[in-house]
Amino acid sequence: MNITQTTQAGTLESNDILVTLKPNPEGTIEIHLQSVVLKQFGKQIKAIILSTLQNHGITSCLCECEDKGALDHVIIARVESAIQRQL
Amino acid sequence: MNRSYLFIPASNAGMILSSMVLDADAIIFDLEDGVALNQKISARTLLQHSLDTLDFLDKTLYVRINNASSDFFLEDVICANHPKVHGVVLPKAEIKSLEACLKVLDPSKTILCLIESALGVIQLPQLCQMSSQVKGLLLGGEDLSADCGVERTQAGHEIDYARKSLVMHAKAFNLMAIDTPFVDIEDHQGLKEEVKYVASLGYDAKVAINPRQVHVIHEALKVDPLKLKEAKMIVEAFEKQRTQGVGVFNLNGKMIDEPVYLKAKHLIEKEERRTP
Repeated sequence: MNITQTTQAGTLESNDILVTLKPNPEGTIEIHLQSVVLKQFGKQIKAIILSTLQNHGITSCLCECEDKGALDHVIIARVESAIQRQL
Repeated sequence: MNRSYLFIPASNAGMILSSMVLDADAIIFDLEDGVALNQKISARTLLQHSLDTLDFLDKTLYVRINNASSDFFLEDVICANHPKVHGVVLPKAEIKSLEACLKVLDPSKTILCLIESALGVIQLPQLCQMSSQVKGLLLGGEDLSADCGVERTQAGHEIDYARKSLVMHAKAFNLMAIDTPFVDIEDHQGLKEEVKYVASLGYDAKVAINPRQVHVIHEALKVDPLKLKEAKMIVEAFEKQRTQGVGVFNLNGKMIDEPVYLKAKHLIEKEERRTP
């Protein structure tokens, strides 16, 4: 499944993450992450985002995320909501 | 027995997280009025993942689902069927909406009927008897006054009939009576006075809309230690007299009979159930 429009989910409040999904002309999944804990947890957060996208059959998108210290389950929920809004 | 029910908007990740450690006896995750229309589905998704992941320890968890006539109702009830959830708060509880809820809610879950319409008030006798899943009545003063087209005041005379009718029905059918939120979150004195007033009517608990209200509610619901001590003396004396065949007697100048004994016993039991 390709992302065909821009959708968003989440907030910039503490313990949350703002996820924006956009079409990617390159045809790949590209994740851009800003986080208050980028150095400590950046790799882990990106891995969660990627696996959530892949679990929902996403093969191409530009995923821009601004993280404010979200726990794993919040990241998953927000990515899923952004995907749901594509439908 | 829960003394406080704290509303937490299910759209707010941080508040859901902090609700685990707040003092409220029960948490109501709100999918209804506390969530904007365009955030309803993402709030439910967040709540589902939070319930799957977080440990809320001994907190009693409820979900305020959306109105039975809304597009969100069915999925909300399915979300509330989660094993960690104790039950639902049913908004605009009326016969039709309760029937709809009972069709899809897991039979192990309880229902708190949110009475916030004039029709809901006059249907109280039926609502109390429709299912053993109904365990409590919760007054929604804001929506009720809107439904009646009257101004909501701090004195609350406009909801007086509903408030008294609700508690009387709760007592008649052995249900929890939970009072409407106190909306001025800065006015702790006003909240304290209102809690004491509704407790004097027989209410068991109050809804909080801010974590800072919880402690005020708990303090206001504490039984006066002197009254508790007196109640214990009455119970002890009555039970002793009863073994000797005496039904009415004088204790420190006051007549003690069966109704006085039962009232004293009820006070002690209520305090014991309330003590966390």
